[in-house]
Amino acid sequence: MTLAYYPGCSLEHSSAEFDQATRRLLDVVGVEIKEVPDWTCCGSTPAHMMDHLLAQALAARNLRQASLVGDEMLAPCPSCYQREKNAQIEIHKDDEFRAEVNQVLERAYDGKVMVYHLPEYLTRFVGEEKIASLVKTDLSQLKVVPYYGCLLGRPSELTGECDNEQPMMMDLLLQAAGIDVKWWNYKTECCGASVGMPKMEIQRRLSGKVIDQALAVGADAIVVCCPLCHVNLDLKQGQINKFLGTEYSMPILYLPQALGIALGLTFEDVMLEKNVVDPRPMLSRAISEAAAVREEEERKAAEKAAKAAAREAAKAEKASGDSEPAKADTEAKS
Amino acid sequence: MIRYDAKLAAEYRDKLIKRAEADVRECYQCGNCSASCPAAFTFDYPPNQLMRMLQIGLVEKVLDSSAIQLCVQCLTCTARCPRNIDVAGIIEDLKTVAIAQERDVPEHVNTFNRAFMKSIAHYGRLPELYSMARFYMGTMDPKMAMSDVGLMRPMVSRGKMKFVPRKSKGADEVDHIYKKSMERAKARERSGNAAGGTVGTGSEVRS
Repeated sequence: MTLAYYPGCSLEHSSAEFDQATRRLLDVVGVEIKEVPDWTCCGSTPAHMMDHLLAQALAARNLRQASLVGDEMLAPCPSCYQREKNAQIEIHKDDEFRAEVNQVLERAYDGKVMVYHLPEYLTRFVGEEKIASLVKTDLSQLKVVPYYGCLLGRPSELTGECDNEQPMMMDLLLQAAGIDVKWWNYKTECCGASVGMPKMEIQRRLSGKVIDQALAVGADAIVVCCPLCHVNLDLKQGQINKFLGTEYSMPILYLPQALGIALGLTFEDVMLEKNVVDPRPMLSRAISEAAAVREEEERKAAEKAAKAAAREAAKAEKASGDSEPAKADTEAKS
Repeated sequence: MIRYDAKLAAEYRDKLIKRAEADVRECYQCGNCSASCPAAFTFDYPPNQLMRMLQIGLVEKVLDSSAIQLCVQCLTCTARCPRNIDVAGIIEDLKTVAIAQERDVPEHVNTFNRAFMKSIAHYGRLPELYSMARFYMGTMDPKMAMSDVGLMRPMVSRGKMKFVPRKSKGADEVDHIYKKSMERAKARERSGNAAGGTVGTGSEVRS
């Protein structure tokens, strides 16, 4: 069965780059996907703030549609992932509740579709080894911090993340792709997404702190895997600067953008032109720096090899010089 | 003086145990939730106080608090609770009760929920620009809308905006789900009130 792909509303428009980068990346690592037929909104975030049954039924409708394609569904947007996963768990374990959900659905959902988020799917079904083996572009000079936000790890019972204070999936994937991953303490802090519109002040302060901490550990960019984190950190960076009186200019990359470039995709392939804080100069610089470092290393290695060769030659000469009189000696003796 | 309403507290706790699989009685007031909460600085009561208020039956006060509406649902409190209480789940649950009971929800939270949910129900998929416009109209606060107008330029120049929303194929079913679920929620609250209970929680969802 192929992997059912649920893009979700954000990826359709405001985060088109996340959608395209994910599709291209999955193509490169050899995962075949099929879009969930006639998918609709998962209901995040208003639905689960309004009514429980509404939230689960909206998510269940998409699970039903996904079951037409396969038994595994990828939801790259963590908001969608949480809603779909939540519904998956509750509906699959509670037949009574499933019957109730089916009462508000037009056609019943009786499948068993498993929901995954992108880092989870890549870690479990593609693997770091495969990603490492496919690396084409050297990004060793690109210093990033992975930002998980709230929804990829919490709560552990739902996501299966063994350590929701220090999740490692994105760290390991980025390292496998040869990127310089920095350690920081804001991996799972909240950016304030869900109240970004009704309560702007919370969002400005929380997102500002995240960027501040990324700068403090010397990162060039923050890697996110969530369209809402991206909007808050990237699109609203100007507003944050205005509110806090700062001058941040920190590119925010999507995980599949960073991985995709390491795996040989071009800037256009992963739609870097759509990011508001332009990451292209930073990436070009990192790539040329990596080339320079490599050149320098090669030059040093060549120098070292030349020196070693010279030493060998000198030794050989000396050895042959030593052996000649010995030879003469033996000749004389005979 | 805060009076302990034993009956109300017991009634509420029982309902909560069923629904959130959590038990506010477990809370021993360590304050981990409040220390971790990124949005507590905007709350009228921090999360640990909410738990205490639920323990002693001050449910009405909790339902009217701004805290349950301003919670960002980051789930840090739930993840860090040493007593395994699903604090965020309880807050989310209370939020749905407050909305179903049509309480005065502070700030623009309700406006946001309505604007977005109605757009989703109508179009099937979330038409971002359309729902944002709807939200700002609902707030009746032009200053708020103006502060986000600046976002339009980068969105438009990068082709991230769709101006005319289009109905997607499953839209009718989504509308159907929305109407049916909300009808049920309202009926549940009405029957809860008629039976003399002041608090309805999601527990009746299952029945």
